[in-house]
Amino acid sequence: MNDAPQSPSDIALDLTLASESLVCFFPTLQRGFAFRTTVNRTVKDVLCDALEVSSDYIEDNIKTIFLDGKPVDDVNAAMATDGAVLALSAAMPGLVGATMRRGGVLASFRNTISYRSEKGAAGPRDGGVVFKLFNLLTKALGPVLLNKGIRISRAEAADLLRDNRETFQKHARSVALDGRETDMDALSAEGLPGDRETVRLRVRLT
Amino acid sequence: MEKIVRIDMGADGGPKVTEEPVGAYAGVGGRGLTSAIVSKEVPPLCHPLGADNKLVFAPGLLSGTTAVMSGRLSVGCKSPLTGGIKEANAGGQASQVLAKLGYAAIVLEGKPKDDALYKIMIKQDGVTISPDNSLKGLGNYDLVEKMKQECGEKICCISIGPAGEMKMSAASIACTDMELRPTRHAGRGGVGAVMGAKGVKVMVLDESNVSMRSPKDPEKFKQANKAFTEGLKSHAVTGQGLPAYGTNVLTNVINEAGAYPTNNFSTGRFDGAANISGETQAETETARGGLATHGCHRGCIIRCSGTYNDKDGNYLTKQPEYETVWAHGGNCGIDDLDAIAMLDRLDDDFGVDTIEMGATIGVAMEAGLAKFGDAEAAINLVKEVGKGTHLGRILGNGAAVTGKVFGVERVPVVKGQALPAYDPRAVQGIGVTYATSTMGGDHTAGYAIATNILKVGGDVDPLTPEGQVELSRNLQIATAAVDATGMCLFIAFAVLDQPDTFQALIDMINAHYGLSLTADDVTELGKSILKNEREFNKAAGFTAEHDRLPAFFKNEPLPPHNITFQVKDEELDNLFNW
Repeated sequence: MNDAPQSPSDIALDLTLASESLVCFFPTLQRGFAFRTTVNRTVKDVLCDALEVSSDYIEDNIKTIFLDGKPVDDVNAAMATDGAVLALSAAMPGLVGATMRRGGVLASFRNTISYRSEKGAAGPRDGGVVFKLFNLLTKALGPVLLNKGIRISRAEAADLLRDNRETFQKHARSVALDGRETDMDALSAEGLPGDRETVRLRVRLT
Repeated sequence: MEKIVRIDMGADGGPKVTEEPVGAYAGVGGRGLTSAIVSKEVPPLCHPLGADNKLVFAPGLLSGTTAVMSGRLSVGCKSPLTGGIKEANAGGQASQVLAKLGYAAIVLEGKPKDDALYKIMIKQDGVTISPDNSLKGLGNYDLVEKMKQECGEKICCISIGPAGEMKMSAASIACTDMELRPTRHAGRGGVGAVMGAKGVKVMVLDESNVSMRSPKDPEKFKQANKAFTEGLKSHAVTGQGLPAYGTNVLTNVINEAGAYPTNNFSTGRFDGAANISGETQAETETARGGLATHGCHRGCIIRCSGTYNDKDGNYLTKQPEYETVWAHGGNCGIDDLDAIAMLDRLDDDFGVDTIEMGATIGVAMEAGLAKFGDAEAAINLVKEVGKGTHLGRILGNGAAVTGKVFGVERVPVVKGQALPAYDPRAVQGIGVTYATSTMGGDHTAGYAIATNILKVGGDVDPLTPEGQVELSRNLQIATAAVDATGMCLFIAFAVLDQPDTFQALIDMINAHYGLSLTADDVTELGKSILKNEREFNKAAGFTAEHDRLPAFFKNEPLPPHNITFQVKDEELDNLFNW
């Protein structure tokens, strides 16, 4: 199981925040973030591992899945390779929304863009995927992934801290930067250190 | 709903009101009734703005009862935008009140002999009509305020804005919601222009002292309604997703699929999608004191609508729908929710179809009238429509006219009507519906309902183009049937997945009318509606060549999947062979 191993090229930012702060991360969760995990596995295995959910949960709640922009019908056949983009959504309204649903009879409407398994994938190894969480799943699954640690660009992290400065100052329980304790005021004043381009952001919500 | 009211706007001596029994039109409602009347009584070759066209308003079979979700009003005519038959429908209160007043339909006929603008009052004791030129030029919001002052608050209004008065082909008809705001529109096809041509600015329905329609078997009706309600509440889409985020929940998903038409259908993905997503919209609304969940009519339990306040917390418009956010947003390269909300407000006030306007602005941007992404320019272009300037009149007549005037090749229309928010190259099956629907480019004409009961999946391999044609055919049949009931089309999601919920809908119809309909009867109803519409369009001059997508969908691969529309013309021609 992955616990967001630290890369020396990442800035490590650890926040403990009141649970009301989850909404501040919704834009990041929608736009997508990198997540380190074992790749070259089925989508089902990646989701069960990363999200700490059962296959029943996937069946009942994650009704729409895209792998590199292609709707997935069989999570046991679709393979998540290194760098794959996995977008997750609840069941969608509308005719076209319904066509995107996994394995539905209307799936034929989007046949030309549906995911097709490729043969000859290499064996499982360390790597990363990009997750995007949409609608009901941002709230349901966001905390798990944030708690394990996600990777975003330095620019995105700076925007996140700037745009939510007041909320974070109000709700922060603890702040650590590259392993050293600090606080929101100092972080706001000094900004992110050095010139590393990625941030490993871990958020514990209490 | 035992009565039909006919109002001859061109009668000698002034408009004349006649009430008659439903007669031969008994047993149909909503789109079933509008299409029956239009196909039987309107000469297919008439001018849409002329005296021979008729504008029919019909509640659905279950409107005005205690059935949940039964508040859709159908509006039918010959369309000035497509030249074919048109049914546009809207939520709001009008359908419920009209049905409770006992009217199966209001039919506007003829054409006034003068240029007076008329106001129609419909109450329990009858219908009156009077000229009121003080209403000329009013936006829908000011108009409704005036009606509230004159008539009190126990009313609902059906009205046109300046666009309808100017008979623009993108003009809509507004219906007021529960808060008496003109936010629910029968948008598509220029129905507002026909109302303007008939000289009618507003119909005011007074719901004082009216009561719910009573079913023939109240106990069975109550049980069926309860089962239907439970089915809707237990479904993830109707019970959770739509109430939380509204229809704009689709933005992220359709964008991820690469099916989100961006910058006038030139690509399928928009970089700014997350900024205008339903998720972002809901958070913005909530933070500003608006509502992220709200019903557009009494009896709605899905509550997919909401209210959008400006930065200062003041009401600006109802929560913009997915189609509106797409049309004025990604299709024009705009990722500013406040700008999109303002455009929605202007559309509602001037009385224009948001899909047609957004598509038109996209074509205008392609023509160089503004840059993609320039929100301020888009707002100014829509304001031209409201003012009725020469440019505004071009834009207000829709994407096809605008494309022709400015020499644009990529114009996304079918039968003259702008396509909605799903690119048919990515979702080929919706392209089949766009091409073949009797309504022109339309996404709601081929919805899903109880696939395993209505055999919507069909008998042909769904992975083949033939399979997609059969599926689209069956969906169009099913949708036409739902449109006749007055039910909001969003019931389809629960009904698609839950046969018991679909059965509950049939049970409600049976219990109300004392019938014994089966699922096969529902299919036949849908087929008969499509047959009426198809025959009208044929007589109006439509041929197989009109059941086609614009050529660019076949020639221009759509990024990111780089695919073109692949369903062959011969396959499209098979759709109505049942």
